[in-house]
Amino acid sequence: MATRATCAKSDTILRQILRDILALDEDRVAAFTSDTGLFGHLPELDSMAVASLLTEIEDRFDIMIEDDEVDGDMLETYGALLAFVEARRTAS
Amino acid sequence: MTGIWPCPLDGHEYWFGSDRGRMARLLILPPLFAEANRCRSLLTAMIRQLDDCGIDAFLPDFPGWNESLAPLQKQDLQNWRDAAQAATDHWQITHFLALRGGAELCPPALPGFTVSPLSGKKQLRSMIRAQTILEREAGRHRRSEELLQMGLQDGLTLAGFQIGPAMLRDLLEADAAAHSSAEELTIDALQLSPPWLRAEPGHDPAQAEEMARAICARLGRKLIFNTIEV
Repeated sequence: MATRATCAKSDTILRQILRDILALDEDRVAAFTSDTGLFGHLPELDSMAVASLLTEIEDRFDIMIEDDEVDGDMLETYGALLAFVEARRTAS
Repeated sequence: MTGIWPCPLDGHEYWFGSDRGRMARLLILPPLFAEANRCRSLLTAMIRQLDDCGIDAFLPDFPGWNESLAPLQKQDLQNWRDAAQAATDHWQITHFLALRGGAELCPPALPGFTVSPLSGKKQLRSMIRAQTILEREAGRHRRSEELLQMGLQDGLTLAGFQIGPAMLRDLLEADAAAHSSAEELTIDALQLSPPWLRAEPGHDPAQAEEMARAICARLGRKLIFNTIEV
Protein backbone atom coordinates (compact mmCIF):
# COMPACT_ATOMS: atom_id res chain seq x y z
CA MET A 1 0.00 0.00 0.00
CA ALA A 2 1.28 3.46 -0.86
CA THR A 3 2.06 5.46 2.28
CA ARG A 4 1.22 9.12 2.69
CA ALA A 5 4.93 9.95 2.37
CA THR A 6 5.21 8.03 -0.92
CA CYS A 7 2.14 9.82 -2.28
CA ALA A 8 3.57 13.20 -1.32
CA LYS A 9 6.83 12.31 -3.04
CA SER A 10 5.04 11.19 -6.21
CA ASP A 11 3.07 14.43 -6.18
CA THR A 12 6.26 16.50 -5.94
CA ILE A 13 8.03 14.57 -8.71
CA LEU A 14 5.00 14.67 -11.01
CA ARG A 15 4.61 18.43 -10.60
CA GLN A 16 8.34 18.82 -11.34
CA ILE A 17 8.01 16.76 -14.53
CA LEU A 18 5.03 18.79 -15.73
CA ARG A 19 6.92 21.99 -14.98
CA ASP A 20 9.98 20.80 -16.90
CA ILE A 21 8.06 19.56 -19.92
CA LEU A 22 5.50 22.30 -20.28
CA ALA A 23 7.79 25.15 -19.21
CA LEU A 24 5.16 26.31 -16.76
CA ASP A 25 6.13 28.54 -13.87
CA GLU A 26 6.37 27.07 -10.41
CA ASP A 27 3.36 28.92 -8.97
CA ARG A 28 1.08 27.71 -11.75
CA VAL A 29 2.04 24.06 -11.26
CA ALA A 30 1.88 24.40 -7.46
CA ALA A 31 -1.74 25.56 -7.86
CA PHE A 32 -2.77 22.36 -9.70
CA THR A 33 -5.52 20.46 -7.87
CA SER A 34 -6.84 16.96 -8.52
CA ASP A 35 -9.43 18.48 -10.84
CA THR A 36 -7.03 20.58 -12.92
CA GLY A 37 -7.53 19.55 -16.54
CA LEU A 38 -4.45 18.36 -18.48
CA PHE A 39 -4.81 16.94 -22.00
CA GLY A 40 -7.23 19.12 -23.95
CA HIS A 41 -7.06 21.83 -21.30
CA LEU A 42 -3.40 22.88 -21.35
CA PRO A 43 -2.44 24.10 -24.84
CA GLU A 44 1.21 23.29 -24.04
CA LEU A 45 0.35 19.58 -23.65
CA ASP A 46 0.24 18.46 -27.28
CA SER A 47 0.85 14.92 -28.58
CA MET A 48 4.63 15.30 -28.61
CA ALA A 49 4.58 16.66 -25.07
CA VAL A 50 2.42 13.71 -23.98
CA ALA A 51 5.05 11.31 -25.33
CA SER A 52 7.81 13.18 -23.48
CA LEU A 53 5.70 13.26 -20.34
CA LEU A 54 5.09 9.50 -20.35
CA THR A 55 8.73 8.69 -21.05
CA GLU A 56 9.87 11.00 -18.27
CA ILE A 57 7.34 9.44 -15.86
CA GLU A 58 8.73 6.00 -16.77
CA ASP A 59 12.25 7.20 -16.14
CA ARG A 60 11.79 9.07 -12.87
CA PHE A 61 9.37 6.57 -11.29
CA ASP A 62 11.10 3.50 -12.76
CA ILE A 63 7.86 2.07 -14.18
CA MET A 64 6.80 0.94 -17.66
CA ILE A 65 3.70 2.31 -19.38
CA GLU A 66 2.22 0.19 -22.17
CA ASP A 67 0.37 1.54 -25.23
CA ASP A 68 -2.96 0.18 -23.96
CA GLU A 69 -2.69 2.13 -20.73
CA VAL A 70 -2.46 5.50 -22.46
CA ASP A 71 -5.96 6.89 -22.83
CA GLY A 72 -7.91 10.09 -22.40
CA ASP A 73 -9.01 9.25 -18.85
CA MET A 74 -5.48 8.87 -17.55
CA LEU A 75 -4.51 12.30 -18.89
CA GLU A 76 -7.82 14.03 -18.25
CA THR A 77 -6.88 15.63 -14.92
CA TYR A 78 -3.86 16.01 -12.69
CA GLY A 79 -5.56 13.81 -10.07
CA ALA A 80 -6.13 11.01 -12.60
CA LEU A 81 -2.50 11.06 -13.71
CA LEU A 82 -1.23 11.06 -10.13
CA ALA A 83 -3.56 8.16 -9.26
CA PHE A 84 -2.24 6.21 -12.27
CA VAL A 85 1.37 6.77 -11.22
CA GLU A 86 0.60 5.80 -7.62
CA ALA A 87 -1.16 2.61 -8.71
CA ARG A 88 1.76 1.62 -10.93
CA ARG A 89 4.32 2.38 -8.23
CA THR A 90 2.39 0.26 -5.74
CA ALA A 91 2.11 -2.60 -8.23
CA SER A 92 5.80 -2.66 -9.12
CA MET B 1 32.33 31.38 -35.20
CA THR B 2 31.04 29.26 -38.06
CA GLY B 3 32.61 27.30 -40.86
CA ILE B 4 32.76 24.07 -42.81
CA TRP B 5 34.58 21.02 -41.51
CA PRO B 6 35.77 18.01 -43.53
CA CYS B 7 33.35 15.36 -42.30
CA PRO B 8 34.73 12.13 -43.80
CA LEU B 9 31.38 10.61 -44.70
CA ASP B 10 30.06 13.25 -47.04
CA GLY B 11 32.92 15.66 -47.54
CA HIS B 12 31.87 18.72 -45.63
CA GLU B 13 29.47 19.85 -42.93
CA TYR B 14 28.72 23.09 -41.14
CA TRP B 15 30.02 23.79 -37.63
CA PHE B 16 29.51 26.45 -35.01
CA GLY B 17 32.02 27.26 -32.29
CA SER B 18 35.22 29.07 -31.41
CA ASP B 19 38.67 27.93 -32.48
CA ARG B 20 41.47 30.09 -31.10
CA GLY B 21 44.04 27.33 -30.68
CA ARG B 22 43.58 27.13 -26.93
CA MET B 23 44.51 24.27 -24.62
CA ALA B 24 40.99 23.22 -23.65
CA ARG B 25 39.06 22.06 -26.72
CA LEU B 26 35.55 20.79 -26.20
CA LEU B 27 33.50 18.74 -28.68
CA ILE B 28 29.78 19.15 -28.08
CA LEU B 29 27.62 16.16 -28.91
CA PRO B 30 24.05 17.50 -28.74
CA PRO B 31 20.90 15.50 -28.09
CA LEU B 32 19.57 13.65 -31.13
CA PHE B 33 16.54 14.34 -33.32
CA ALA B 34 13.80 16.63 -31.92
CA GLU B 35 15.66 17.16 -28.64
CA ALA B 36 18.56 18.71 -30.59
CA ASN B 37 16.34 21.52 -31.85
CA ARG B 38 15.18 22.32 -28.34
CA CYS B 39 18.77 22.63 -27.07
CA ARG B 40 20.47 24.47 -29.92
CA SER B 41 19.87 27.94 -28.55
CA LEU B 42 21.23 26.94 -25.14
CA LEU B 43 24.31 25.29 -26.65
CA THR B 44 25.22 28.17 -28.96
CA ALA B 45 24.85 30.64 -26.06
CA MET B 46 26.98 28.34 -23.89
CA ILE B 47 29.71 28.20 -26.58
CA ARG B 48 29.94 32.02 -26.51
CA GLN B 49 30.28 31.91 -22.74
CA LEU B 50 32.95 29.18 -22.96
CA ASP B 51 34.82 31.33 -25.47
CA ASP B 52 34.92 34.12 -22.87
CA CYS B 53 36.25 31.56 -20.33
CA GLY B 54 39.15 30.61 -22.63
CA ILE B 55 37.74 27.32 -23.87
CA ASP B 56 37.45 26.43 -27.55
CA ALA B 57 34.19 24.62 -28.21
CA PHE B 58 32.91 22.94 -31.36
CA LEU B 59 29.33 22.07 -32.29
CA PRO B 60 29.60 20.32 -35.66
CA ASP B 61 26.81 19.04 -37.85
CA PHE B 62 27.01 15.36 -38.63
CA PRO B 63 25.38 13.86 -41.77
CA GLY B 64 21.62 14.33 -41.58
CA TRP B 65 21.74 16.97 -38.81
CA ASN B 66 20.74 20.61 -38.84
CA GLU B 67 22.08 22.20 -42.07
CA SER B 68 23.44 18.93 -43.49
CA LEU B 69 22.40 18.03 -47.02
CA ALA B 70 22.99 14.32 -46.41
CA PRO B 71 19.72 12.32 -46.19
CA LEU B 72 18.90 11.36 -42.60
CA GLN B 73 17.28 8.07 -43.67
CA LYS B 74 20.66 6.86 -44.97
CA GLN B 75 22.41 7.37 -41.63
CA ASP B 76 23.10 4.99 -38.78
CA LEU B 77 24.69 5.43 -35.35
CA GLN B 78 28.04 4.11 -36.55
CA ASN B 79 28.20 6.89 -39.18
CA TRP B 80 27.75 9.43 -36.42
CA ARG B 81 30.25 7.73 -34.12
CA ASP B 82 32.76 7.82 -36.99
CA ALA B 83 31.96 11.51 -37.51
CA ALA B 84 32.51 12.18 -33.78
CA GLN B 85 35.90 10.50 -33.94
CA ALA B 86 36.80 12.41 -37.12
CA ALA B 87 35.81 15.70 -35.49
CA THR B 88 37.93 14.80 -32.45
CA ASP B 89 40.96 14.19 -34.68
CA HIS B 90 40.32 17.21 -36.89
CA TRP B 91 40.17 19.76 -34.06
CA GLN B 92 42.46 17.93 -31.64
CA ILE B 93 39.68 17.81 -29.12
CA THR B 94 40.66 17.34 -25.46
CA HIS B 95 37.19 16.66 -23.94
CA PHE B 96 33.60 16.08 -24.98
CA LEU B 97 30.30 17.30 -23.61
CA ALA B 98 27.49 14.92 -24.57
CA LEU B 99 23.86 15.65 -23.84
CA ARG B 100 21.12 12.99 -23.83
CA GLY B 101 21.34 10.74 -26.94
CA GLY B 102 24.62 12.42 -27.89
CA ALA B 103 26.14 10.18 -25.22
CA GLU B 104 25.81 7.27 -27.66
CA LEU B 105 28.39 8.95 -29.89
CA CYS B 106 31.24 9.65 -27.44
CA PRO B 107 34.68 8.76 -28.80
CA PRO B 108 35.76 5.94 -26.47
CA ALA B 109 39.28 7.17 -25.71
CA LEU B 110 38.28 10.76 -24.96
CA PRO B 111 37.52 12.07 -21.45
CA GLY B 112 34.46 14.22 -21.00
CA PHE B 113 31.10 14.96 -19.47
CA THR B 114 27.59 13.71 -20.02
CA VAL B 115 24.34 15.45 -19.17
CA SER B 116 21.29 13.20 -18.56
CA PRO B 117 22.58 10.48 -20.93
CA LEU B 118 19.80 8.72 -22.83
CA SER B 119 20.27 5.30 -24.39
CA GLY B 120 19.29 4.79 -28.02
CA LYS B 121 16.76 2.23 -26.89
CA LYS B 122 14.93 4.71 -24.65
CA GLN B 123 15.17 7.42 -27.28
CA LEU B 124 13.50 5.16 -29.82
CA ARG B 125 10.79 4.12 -27.36
CA SER B 126 9.84 7.74 -26.78
CA MET B 127 9.82 8.62 -30.49
CA ILE B 128 7.71 5.60 -31.41
CA ARG B 129 5.31 6.41 -28.58
CA ALA B 130 4.90 9.95 -29.95
CA GLN B 131 4.12 8.44 -33.35
CA THR B 132 1.50 6.05 -31.93
CA ILE B 133 -0.23 9.05 -30.31
CA LEU B 134 -0.15 11.00 -33.58
CA GLU B 135 -1.47 7.96 -35.48
CA ARG B 136 -4.28 7.56 -32.96
CA GLU B 137 -5.26 11.20 -33.43
CA ALA B 138 -5.41 10.54 -37.18
CA GLY B 139 -7.77 7.61 -36.54
CA ARG B 140 -5.18 4.87 -37.06
CA HIS B 141 -4.52 2.52 -34.19
CA ARG B 142 -1.04 1.14 -34.51
CA ARG B 143 0.87 -0.35 -31.62
CA SER B 144 4.51 0.50 -30.97
CA GLU B 145 5.61 -3.02 -31.86
CA GLU B 146 3.75 -2.89 -35.18
CA LEU B 147 5.34 0.45 -36.08
CA LEU B 148 8.78 -0.85 -35.15
CA GLN B 149 8.43 -3.95 -37.31
CA MET B 150 7.28 -1.80 -40.25
CA GLY B 151 10.26 0.49 -39.67
CA LEU B 152 12.77 -2.32 -39.58
CA GLN B 153 11.65 -3.25 -43.08
CA ASP B 154 11.16 0.12 -44.75
CA GLY B 155 12.15 2.83 -42.28
CA LEU B 156 9.82 5.14 -40.34
CA THR B 157 9.03 8.82 -40.12
CA LEU B 158 9.01 9.63 -36.42
CA ALA B 159 8.00 13.15 -35.39
CA GLY B 160 9.05 14.36 -38.84
CA PHE B 161 12.43 12.60 -38.79
CA GLN B 162 12.96 9.99 -41.48
CA ILE B 163 14.73 7.11 -39.77
CA GLY B 164 16.05 4.27 -41.92
CA PRO B 165 16.06 0.58 -40.97
CA ALA B 166 19.80 0.63 -40.12
CA MET B 167 19.37 3.51 -37.67
CA LEU B 168 16.36 1.81 -36.08
CA ARG B 169 18.39 -1.37 -35.55
CA ASP B 170 21.29 0.60 -34.09
CA LEU B 171 19.04 2.55 -31.71
CA LEU B 172 17.32 -0.64 -30.56
CA GLU B 173 20.66 -2.12 -29.59
CA ALA B 174 22.23 1.05 -28.22
CA ASP B 175 22.09 0.68 -24.49
CA ALA B 176 25.47 1.99 -23.52
CA ALA B 177 24.79 5.67 -23.04
CA ALA B 178 26.97 5.67 -19.95
CA HIS B 179 30.54 6.40 -20.98
CA SER B 180 32.94 4.66 -18.65
CA SER B 181 35.31 7.57 -18.18
CA ALA B 182 32.75 10.39 -18.46
CA GLU B 183 31.72 12.52 -15.52
CA GLU B 184 27.95 12.90 -15.41
CA LEU B 185 26.77 16.43 -14.74
CA THR B 186 23.33 16.29 -13.20
CA ILE B 187 20.63 18.78 -14.05
CA ASP B 188 20.49 19.66 -10.34
CA ALA B 189 24.21 20.43 -10.25
CA LEU B 190 23.82 22.57 -13.37
CA GLN B 191 20.65 24.17 -12.01
CA LEU B 192 19.16 23.31 -15.37
CA SER B 193 15.51 23.15 -16.28
CA PRO B 194 15.89 20.44 -18.96
CA PRO B 195 15.55 22.26 -22.29
CA TRP B 196 15.25 18.96 -24.20
CA LEU B 197 11.88 18.34 -22.53
CA ARG B 198 10.39 21.65 -23.49
CA ALA B 199 7.44 21.49 -25.86
CA GLU B 200 8.75 24.71 -27.44
CA PRO B 201 12.44 25.68 -27.69
CA GLY B 202 13.31 28.54 -25.38
CA HIS B 203 16.16 30.99 -24.90
CA ASP B 204 17.67 31.14 -21.43
CA PRO B 205 21.01 33.01 -21.20
CA ALA B 206 21.23 32.43 -17.43
CA GLN B 207 21.19 28.65 -17.91
CA ALA B 208 23.81 28.88 -20.66
CA GLU B 209 26.02 30.87 -18.31
CA GLU B 210 25.51 28.36 -15.49
CA MET B 211 26.46 25.44 -17.75
CA ALA B 212 29.53 27.26 -19.08
CA ARG B 213 30.61 28.11 -15.54
CA ALA B 214 30.28 24.47 -14.42
CA ILE B 215 32.30 23.23 -17.40
CA CYS B 216 34.98 25.92 -16.99
CA ALA B 217 35.42 24.98 -13.34
CA ARG B 218 35.76 21.28 -14.10
CA LEU B 219 37.94 21.66 -17.22
CA GLY B 220 40.20 24.10 -15.43
CA ARG B 221 40.75 21.58 -12.64
CA LYS B 222 41.36 18.74 -15.08
CA LEU B 223 43.86 20.72 -17.14
CA ILE B 224 45.80 21.82 -14.04
CA PHE B 225 45.79 18.25 -12.73
CA ASN B 226 47.03 16.87 -16.09
CA THR B 227 49.80 19.47 -16.26
CA ILE B 228 50.97 18.56 -12.76
CA GLU B 229 50.89 14.84 -13.66
CA VAL B 230 53.02 15.42 -16.77
